[in-house]
Amino acid sequence: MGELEIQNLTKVFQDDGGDIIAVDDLDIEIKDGELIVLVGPSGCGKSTTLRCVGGLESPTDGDIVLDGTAVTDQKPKKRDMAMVFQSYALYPHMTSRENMEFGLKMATDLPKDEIRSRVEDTAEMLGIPELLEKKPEELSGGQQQRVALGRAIVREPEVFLMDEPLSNLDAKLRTEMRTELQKLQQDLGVTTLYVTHDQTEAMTMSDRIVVLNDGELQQIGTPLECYHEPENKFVAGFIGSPSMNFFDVELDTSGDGPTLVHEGFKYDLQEEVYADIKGHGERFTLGIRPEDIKLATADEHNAVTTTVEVTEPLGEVTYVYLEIADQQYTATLEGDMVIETGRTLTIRFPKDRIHVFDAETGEALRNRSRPDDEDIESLTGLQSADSAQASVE
Amino acid sequence: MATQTESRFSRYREVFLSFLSDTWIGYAFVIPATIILAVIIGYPTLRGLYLAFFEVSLLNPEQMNFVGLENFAALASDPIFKQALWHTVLLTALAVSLQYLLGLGLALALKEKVPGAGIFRSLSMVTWVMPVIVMVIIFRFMVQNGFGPINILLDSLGMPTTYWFGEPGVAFPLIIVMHIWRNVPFYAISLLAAMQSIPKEQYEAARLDSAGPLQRFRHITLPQISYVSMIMIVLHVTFTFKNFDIVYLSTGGGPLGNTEVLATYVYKQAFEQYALGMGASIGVVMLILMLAFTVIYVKLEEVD
Repeated sequence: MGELEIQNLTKVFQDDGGDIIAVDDLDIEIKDGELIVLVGPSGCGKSTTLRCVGGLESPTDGDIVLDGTAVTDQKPKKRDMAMVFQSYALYPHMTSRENMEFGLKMATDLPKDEIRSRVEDTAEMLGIPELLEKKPEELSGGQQQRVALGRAIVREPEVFLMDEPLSNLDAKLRTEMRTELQKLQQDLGVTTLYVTHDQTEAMTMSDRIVVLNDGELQQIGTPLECYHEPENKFVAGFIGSPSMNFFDVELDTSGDGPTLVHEGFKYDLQEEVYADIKGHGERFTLGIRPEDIKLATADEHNAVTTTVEVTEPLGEVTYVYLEIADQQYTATLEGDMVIETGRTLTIRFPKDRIHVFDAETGEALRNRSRPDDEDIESLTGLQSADSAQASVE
Repeated sequence: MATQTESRFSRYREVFLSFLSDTWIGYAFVIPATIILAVIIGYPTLRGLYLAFFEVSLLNPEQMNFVGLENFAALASDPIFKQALWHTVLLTALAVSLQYLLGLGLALALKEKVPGAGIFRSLSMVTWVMPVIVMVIIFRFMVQNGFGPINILLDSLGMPTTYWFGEPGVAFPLIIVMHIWRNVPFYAISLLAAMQSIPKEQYEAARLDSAGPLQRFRHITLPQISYVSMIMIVLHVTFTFKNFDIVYLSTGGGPLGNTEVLATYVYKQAFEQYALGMGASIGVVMLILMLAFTVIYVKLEEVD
């Protein structure tokens, strides 16, 4: 079992200038076998949280509970957790084998040949048996990474703690290892707490994402929940690349219907959107993801006229940087569309795709409607019907 | 034909000049040092080796009698030489091992964030930078009979007082203490530097790997400071083995030969007994023993 609870975790560092609150009253419940990614910008407290869980820092307040037992005051070695560090932290004077054996030798009374076979099995699983007799300095970054993973896996801990384990790898290797790590975690079924500043890693790997900012919890949810239904403006801006576009708008109810007024455009609101934001003052932030921006004709309802500043063709899609009222915004358009810099482009924000945030608190008042699950359901239904038919024939 | 020869010569000239221009700066840097070394180290060494096979008096150095290995035979049966050799070995072994252990302890203490560690780190080098004569005078004052602080303290505790450098059985330990006092901070600083180059993540990884403080020291710290440790030990073995000033200035080898070491014995043979050949032959013995350490040092250097 590896059910981990972080209860009211608070960590305050004393500095010359005063107290720095690294983690502020954080609550997370992690189910056995779950992969939770803590994500946030630098200094958001994600690593501190991880270190508190691992016992490398002692919390100022709150508890770490593992399988119903508080381990807050226990030393790291009592916690049955293994950690993978960003710098790998391999012992440079030991071979890969000795690195992997070290924890077992220290923590258990296993006989030598048992340790040996466990290390070799783990090495086999990671595809590194030929590296066992080499020292870290003889290994590439990716290989060191694997040995560091092996050192954690061989212990068969209740919880894996991973502190930006992929950050020191080059882009290609990082993508590879991401998939591999995810598969490994699923195979092993060990509860994993994974820290990263890379929202792509968070999105692709996690069962659930924990978004932190300034030591405070912003949202816990599945990657798609965080993406489609961000609880506030910070999550909306942090999750997703390129980031969501934000427009400072004011609500105008003096005309025919409720309208959001921006320096560069007006956006007539639907009744249901208005119902969500009514009573939250007059200042709001309108949000729309770059890929939700659609091209439009000039006379279309709610159309926005913009100037193309820069285009970044990636082949599959093109990022178009648009200027609206002296501010830059991003739209993701189809890759086969040729868009010249400097031309005028008319766009629209589909009504079911907009987000509206309270301008003061950042709280999400209206999120885009959830994507339909039906399409994929019906597709897979078709597929299975096909295959069933095929098998009958 | 003539032009061909000429061109061949000019090519040689070019190659030669480019060789010169590439290397002359290198030679220019190396030559002065080489000459100085040859004059102040090479010549005395060779001269010493040569003298070891002669009977020469300092009072009449022109008159030299070749005696072959007789000087060495005399050393083999000289009880003072044997005692000096034993003292040298004992001093080296005790001083270096105690210095290392205390230096290691100090380094570990300094590594923890003890208040005032920074100031201590700067101040501690004072003992190493201080001229030996100043250090010896301080020590002699400390153990001075009558008004030396140590004797005042002993007296107030009702214990016997004396000039401790003149006390057989105490003089030798005092010399070890002086070596330790002088060198421990240097060991500590060197070992501390080696320890601080170990990333703290390794200790954190070891903590999660269930290693306690002693195991972390044994498995993480010690293996990674072993290289610096070996260099420090080998260097100080040679320093201590040939040390002359500390012993000669404090006790002059006395009382009653209790602190006689090879370096002081060489001096006495050559400049007090005027037996230049005899002194040279002791020097040769020291040279051979020191060469052995040098070989170890060079081998260690190659490891890295």
